Amino acid sequence: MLFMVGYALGQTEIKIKGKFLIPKFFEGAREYIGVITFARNGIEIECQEKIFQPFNEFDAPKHRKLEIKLGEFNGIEIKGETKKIIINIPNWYILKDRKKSLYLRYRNMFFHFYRPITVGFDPGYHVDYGLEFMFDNPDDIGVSEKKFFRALVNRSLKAIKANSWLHELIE
Amino acid sequence: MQTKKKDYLFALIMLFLTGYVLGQIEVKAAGKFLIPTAGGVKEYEGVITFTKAGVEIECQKKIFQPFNEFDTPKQRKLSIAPADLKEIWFDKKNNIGLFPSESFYNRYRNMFFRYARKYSLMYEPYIEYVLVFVLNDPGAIDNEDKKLILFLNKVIRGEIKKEENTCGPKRKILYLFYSCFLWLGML
Repeated sequence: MLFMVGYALGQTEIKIKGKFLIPKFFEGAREYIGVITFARNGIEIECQEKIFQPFNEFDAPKHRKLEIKLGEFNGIEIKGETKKIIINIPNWYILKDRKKSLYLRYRNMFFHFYRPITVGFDPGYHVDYGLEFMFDNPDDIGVSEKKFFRALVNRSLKAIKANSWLHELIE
Repeated sequence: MQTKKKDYLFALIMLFLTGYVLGQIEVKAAGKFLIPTAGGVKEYEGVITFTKAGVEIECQKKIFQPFNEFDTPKQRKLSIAPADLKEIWFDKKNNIGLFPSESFYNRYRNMFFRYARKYSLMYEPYIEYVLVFVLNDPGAIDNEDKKLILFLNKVIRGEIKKEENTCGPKRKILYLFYSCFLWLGML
């Protein structure tokens, strides 16, 4: 296992072509052609169009690239049926420097996911936020890539732990 | 016959009075429209107008654009119909909060602040969204104006279903069960 994790981490980067999705004002999503790169230091999304601008900072210039550092995501989900990669983020209010959190910087890019939870007898739901990327070729993501993602998420969780005031929530 | 005539007369007078009060609503006040941004809260100079047709916010800068519709032109004005609102709210300094209906929230999602309301001690606060307008002069809206706006508020609130804001019977039973349990524990 140690060898496998070391091998997976040793891989420099994984590049996947596809479409970056952002939520529309009513339902559905807008698609922007781009490339997602998973590296040891984090994730990078590069689109053909300049769409990345800090949230409601109308005068700030738009960029093609969005960099997600270690400690800014806590999960990478692969949805085979919909060909989607979902990058989950931690709750911004558990972070020490919450003003710099990815969610507060790029709030309009995130999709909301309602996850059912049960507290005692009372059914409820928890809202998670995530970025969505739709990949073109399912063959781009194999077993070794999934291992790499897992190792990357573990490293990111460690970074979150160092930056949060509430460790128990992350465990 | 006499009482029926009186009833009709009373109904007509009430209709006239309601129409008269609704017809009067035209309150204008200058201030700042606040929006959340990546770097904090931004303020935009503008004017808020309450009319019988709803609420209108006009800013000096063109800032209003439907959520994530980057290609559509930006507008100076935002017109809000009564059906787009759930509630109009004032704080002690006469700052105005506009609580949206779901469709209005979806259209201008990036303009809203998150607002946590606690309905009961047992449950987590309920997250709602609100548009915030801060008045330059808190006295710009006096008590008379406030009454008219609160009347509009009542009209708006009358249109929404009560079930949206109250807990259902299942939750009420659970709440009772929990409170009994707590009391027993305390005893």
